[in-house]
Amino acid sequence: MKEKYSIKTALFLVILMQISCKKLVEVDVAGNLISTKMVYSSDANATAAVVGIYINMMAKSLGISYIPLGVTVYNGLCADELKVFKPVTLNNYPYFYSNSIATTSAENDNIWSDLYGYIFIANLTIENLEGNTQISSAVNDQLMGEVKFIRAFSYFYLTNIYGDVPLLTHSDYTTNRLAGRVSKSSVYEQIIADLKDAERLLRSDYSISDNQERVRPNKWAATALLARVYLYTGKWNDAEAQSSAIITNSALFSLPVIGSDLVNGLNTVFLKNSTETIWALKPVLEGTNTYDAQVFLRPPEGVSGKDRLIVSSWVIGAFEPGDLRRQAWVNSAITAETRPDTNYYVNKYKVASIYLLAPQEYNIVLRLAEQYLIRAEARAMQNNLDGAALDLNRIRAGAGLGNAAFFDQASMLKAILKERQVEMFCEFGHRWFDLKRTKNIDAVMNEVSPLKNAVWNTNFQLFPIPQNEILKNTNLIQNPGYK
Amino acid sequence: MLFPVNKMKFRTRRLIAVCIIVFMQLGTAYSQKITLSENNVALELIFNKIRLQSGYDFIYNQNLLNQAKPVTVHLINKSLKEVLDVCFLNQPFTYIFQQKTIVVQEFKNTSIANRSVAFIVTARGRIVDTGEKPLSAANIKVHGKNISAVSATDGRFSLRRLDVNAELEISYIGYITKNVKVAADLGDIILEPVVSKLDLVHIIAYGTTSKRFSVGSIATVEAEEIERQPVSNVLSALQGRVPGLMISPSTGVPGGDYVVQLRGSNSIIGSNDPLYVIDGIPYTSVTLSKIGGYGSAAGNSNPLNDINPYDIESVTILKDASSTSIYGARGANGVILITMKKAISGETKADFNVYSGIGQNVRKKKMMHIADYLDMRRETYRNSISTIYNALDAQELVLWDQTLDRDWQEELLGMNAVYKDVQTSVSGGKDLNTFLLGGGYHKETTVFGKADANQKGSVRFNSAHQSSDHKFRAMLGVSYLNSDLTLPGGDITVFAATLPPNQPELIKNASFNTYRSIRKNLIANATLSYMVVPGLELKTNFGFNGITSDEIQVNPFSTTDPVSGLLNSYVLSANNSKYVWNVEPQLNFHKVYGSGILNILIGGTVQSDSTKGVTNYITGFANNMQLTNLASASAVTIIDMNNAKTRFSSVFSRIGYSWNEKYILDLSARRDGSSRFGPGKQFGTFGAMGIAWIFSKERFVDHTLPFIKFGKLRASYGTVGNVPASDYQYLSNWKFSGYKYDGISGLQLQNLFNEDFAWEITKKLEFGLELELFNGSTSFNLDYYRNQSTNQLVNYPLPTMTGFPSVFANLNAVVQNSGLEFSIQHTHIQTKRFKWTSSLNFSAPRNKLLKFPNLESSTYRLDFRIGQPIYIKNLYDFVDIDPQTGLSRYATTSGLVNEPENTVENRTVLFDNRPKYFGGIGNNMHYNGFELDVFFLYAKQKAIDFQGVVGGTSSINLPIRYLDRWRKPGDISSNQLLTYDWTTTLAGWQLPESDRDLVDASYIKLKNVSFSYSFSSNLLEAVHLKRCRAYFQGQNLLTITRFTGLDPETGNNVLSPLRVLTFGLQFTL
Repeated sequence: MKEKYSIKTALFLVILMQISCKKLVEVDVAGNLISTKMVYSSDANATAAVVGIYINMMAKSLGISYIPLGVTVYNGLCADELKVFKPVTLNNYPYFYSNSIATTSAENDNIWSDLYGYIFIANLTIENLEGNTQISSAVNDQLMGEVKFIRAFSYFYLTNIYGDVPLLTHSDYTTNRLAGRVSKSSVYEQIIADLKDAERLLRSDYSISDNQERVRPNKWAATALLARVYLYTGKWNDAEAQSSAIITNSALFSLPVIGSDLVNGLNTVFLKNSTETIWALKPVLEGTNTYDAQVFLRPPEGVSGKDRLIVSSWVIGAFEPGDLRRQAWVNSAITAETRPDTNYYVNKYKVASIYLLAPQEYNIVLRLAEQYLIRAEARAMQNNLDGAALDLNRIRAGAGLGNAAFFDQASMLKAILKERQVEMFCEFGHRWFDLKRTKNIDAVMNEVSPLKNAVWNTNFQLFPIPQNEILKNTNLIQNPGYK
Repeated sequence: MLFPVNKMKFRTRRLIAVCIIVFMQLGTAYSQKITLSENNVALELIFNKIRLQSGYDFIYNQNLLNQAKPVTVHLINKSLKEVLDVCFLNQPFTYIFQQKTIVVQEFKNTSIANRSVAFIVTARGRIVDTGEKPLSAANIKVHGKNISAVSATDGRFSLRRLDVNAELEISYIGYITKNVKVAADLGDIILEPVVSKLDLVHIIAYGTTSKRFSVGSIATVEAEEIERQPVSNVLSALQGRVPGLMISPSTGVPGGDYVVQLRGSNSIIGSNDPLYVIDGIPYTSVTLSKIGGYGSAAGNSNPLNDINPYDIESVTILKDASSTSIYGARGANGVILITMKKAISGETKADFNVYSGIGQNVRKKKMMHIADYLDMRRETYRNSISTIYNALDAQELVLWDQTLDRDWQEELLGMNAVYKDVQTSVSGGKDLNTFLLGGGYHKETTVFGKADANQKGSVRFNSAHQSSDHKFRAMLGVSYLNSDLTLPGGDITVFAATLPPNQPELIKNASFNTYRSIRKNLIANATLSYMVVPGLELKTNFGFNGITSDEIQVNPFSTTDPVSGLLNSYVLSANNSKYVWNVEPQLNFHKVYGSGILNILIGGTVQSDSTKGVTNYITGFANNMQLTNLASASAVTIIDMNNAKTRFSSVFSRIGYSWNEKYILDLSARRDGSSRFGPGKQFGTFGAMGIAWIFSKERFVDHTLPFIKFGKLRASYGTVGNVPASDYQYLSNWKFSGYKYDGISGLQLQNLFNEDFAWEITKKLEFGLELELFNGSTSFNLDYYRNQSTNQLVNYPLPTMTGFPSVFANLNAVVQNSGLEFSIQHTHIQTKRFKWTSSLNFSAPRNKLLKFPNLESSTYRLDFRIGQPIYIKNLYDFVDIDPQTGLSRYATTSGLVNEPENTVENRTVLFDNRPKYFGGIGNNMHYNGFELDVFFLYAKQKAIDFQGVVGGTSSINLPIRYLDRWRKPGDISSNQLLTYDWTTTLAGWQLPESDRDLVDASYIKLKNVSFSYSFSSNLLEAVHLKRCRAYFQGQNLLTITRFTGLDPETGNNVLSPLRVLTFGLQFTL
């Protein structure tokens, strides 16, 4: 009988083994998940993956994402633009304000990882689009152009914040995890190559958007960024050529008309799809407008009340009397009487939130006024001072100001720098980068830092490489001045 | 059917032969003419053949027959005598006829009256329980001999060739062992159920055992203990009852979550929840709530909220390798088996249990009164800005009544929660068919307001059938529960403990959003079994569990402070479901070999889980009256979607062997396959060995230490696994983010691709001692365990420039959990009318990170330390408030500083946030119909009682200890100066990460008091009641602690567990 059991048992076991074979532990991939292979096998999915990058930029909670708000806030705090009114443990604003960014700062970690995160998706997309026949060539070109633009855009910010950075152009983490830093000039070479590719691949209009919205980068976005890159790298001739290409394209881009209501004109600059917009990021959270408005505006107009980031007295002082931008783009809060230096706040974006309506304002990343100022500077650098004055004065006229006074190249450059300060204040961190690239940073910060209760050190021009990264990748060397 | 068993050496072939003979016997008519043709066979076999053909029985002395020589015989149609003569030729004995019996005897004695000849009889009988239900597979053993048998499905047995003077010992798990004298017809042998706790039936993995014979570390909590407590989640009732099982409520709000850990945390980032199995169906430990975590006052709901505690018959906790290894890949964190009440045969009866009562919030913080509060705010201004207060920052100084002194804790948390509970059941049936039908309703409101409530309605059905030969059995159980939870959208306790005393109304700060969750839970299981032959049972369990959860959180903008930024009304809604089915075929084999008992279980499992869900963000409502009418919304954004399938399939086996009821060996193994792993890594094999020695059965113990009534030593070692908590980790997955950009839905990459990860493995070692002393009045259990978890699945750190901060991979890190557990139970007095029993249990778990390669360079470096528990927090060493500057000072590597740098070296104070030891103390007294049960819970632990960095800078009230603060140089104080100047207050920023507020949060809690009176049966007969009991129950009656925050169990900023007082009535018709 035992034998019979044994046979039965054995049979039973065999049957069990059969039913527990692989079939029973295999499942379909969940309906809501898509594998990388599937993503890059259809136009729609591949587009969705690229669009995911813009969503990443816009769907993070307040103050966390470096693009678009973080760059404005953190660069602004580091420079002479923004001031913290109240101690806010959230986001560690005071550390940036006093130029004492800890190597362990979570915000600094986020800047680094956000930007490299965009680069990673761009690299992955480039690898998967190359020679991909499943994607139509029109879409392939468009997406390839967009991600190359994004890669260049991200590296531009990385190298301007950290100096030399690892240059990753593929998605393999097993090698990327050990990459060391490369020189800033190599990074710029890659940026320029990418932007040239993007210029070639992207459309020269906004037809990629159903409603012709200026929310996905096109050829002109690449051109505009290229103009800026040439300016930053001292290629004045190229910078002038690139910015001219945009300025002369009046069919797409124009500044507010002089001669009409100028304040009204200034008030339209930051509206969605304004004619100044070259590329803007569109809010993705339902019923919201820009993060800038949510963070900067003060009650009753706005909703901040918590973070209290205010425009510094240096910015306010930089406005010439009668500058309409001071009137249109700066506002003061009702608490003016108690704390004189706390009453100014950024009022470029004016809608914090709108109930039941589509958003009215988008985060403008690239706009025409900057191109005028780029060309002015490029011309000035080439000693074309009259040409520079023409561009500079066009911007001043829009603000209700008369022509700039200048005597020589130096005073012209000084005028342009000041114009950039008041035109681009609290907007994508321009001021911080301008001070650095024009080598004015030490002079300005030495003056400003004591008033911020901080001690300036020229090493603070560069943010520290996040310590978390150095610990995990020993090939990364920290910037001088940081432990 | 007859099933004789002889010595172990009894040959299988002969056994089969005997069986065949027995079968033949049934069909063959007796005749006097005999035909035999045998070559060299045992005489005994010849006897059987002769008996078959002739109808004559043989009586013989076994010793005599042992001397028999094999027989070769070839005879056709010969008479009985002729045949016998041939067979007895050359044998050392002879035979005589005695009526229809042939008696074998020695040569020299011809008298059957000779005393040296023992009579040989065949004993037959039937084993039944007190309800005359046949007991199958009961052990029947001949006393002092290695002869035994097991009873058949109808309870019948027969044992042949027994000495007439022999005694039979009849045993069955859960029944008192009985000795009877051998007789040919023993009739019905009635076994009484045991009273000793040692022999009570314990449910274990795929079977039952008793405490006496179990090899594993097993604890059981019975319905009786659960029913003493007015709780809506069985986990609450288990608190402190089981050594090693730590259960911490996360809130006192009904429907809240519990942290359940059996013997510590094994996994660094994976799940540390035990495996729950309800009537054979794995039950999820993962909440289905998606928005409860931030959208409900109770937080995420615990899945066991959706099980009616009243429906539970028992909860068994399996801890060591020996008892959990058979659950293979899911047993690492222990297993909690929940057995639901089953149909019981007997007269049809109806049970009712009704109670109602109130719950109150009794734990309060001592907050500043208005004068002190305003003083604190003014001081902040005076120290930093000016004495002109602006209305925006300090309404309480400018706009509000300067004398109003509200006790917000009283106003917001002062309501009485109302408890109502009704449970009914009807059960009955006899013999072959039994049934149970039950229904229950439970409602508890909250201390926030009457509109908020946790309501549960449930129905239950259980039915069992068996064929008239008792071989085939079928059981079906279905239970369904519907729960409806309505709560505020956040825990109001936070406001109650922070609002300024003169704030005129709540609405200014509090967002009065509401949360509602409706869940449905259906559990169905069916068991079919067939007893192929006695001792061999084929059984299959079919199980299904379906849970749906529909949540909605409504946020009308009108209820929020305009400053907070919310100008839109919005609604979050989440609809989730989880369906699990499993099939478990099993083969059980039970056999007695002389003094040895062999049990073999072989089984398999196929399980499939599917989870689906969608979370929506809805806005653009026509108006605030329409917020629950989603059709009136203009914008619906899917912010989370989930659609996952998991499959699991396994084979398992357990072999148990016990010898002489003294030595027990238990082997178990399981091979598991899971779809949560990539190709090639899906399967894992786990196994365990357990041994036990019942030393009290040894003669030397019995003689020298007679006070030891029962003593057992046991040990086990084995491996168990842990499944990764989420699905599809081995794929590179993209997911639609739910957001649209310019009309296009965006895809987000979820993770880096690593298909090469495998099971986490926990090696469990255990030693146990179990004693029952002094006639059973004292019992004592002691366990030592050491579990080591290896192959940890972690998010392996990568530089974030690779695109992700980590990749999911195995790391050769080792986490060790070890500890001592003991429990003592002692009956002080036991008389007919009065009984008093006390019990105590104690657990001291120790967790230690033994190994973690490259910890220093990983993101985990601030979280873990080698040699320390994995749940430590590294804190700064707070020294004092500088008497000169009024700022906090910390001891760091660079000396005494105000702003310590965030490095591992500066975080020198290690805070282990788990109890050092914990347990429960119970006392139970019976006097006539009265019963009093008192249960205390205790824990030795620390907690951070952090209230605020520095007060004054915002409209937040603080506890009175913040009155002791630095005001002027020279002040020795415990809180730093008040100021708006952030450059100064930087010194305070690290306070929440420092040990300043690290305090003793040990406690002793009077967890439960139950007082009841059972009316005497004489009285009840008059009113036609079978049973009637009136009771009072109290929960969380008293907490003795030095903790200054709210409740030491739940911490500082959530509602404390309520004090609940109920009165109830239980009766049976």
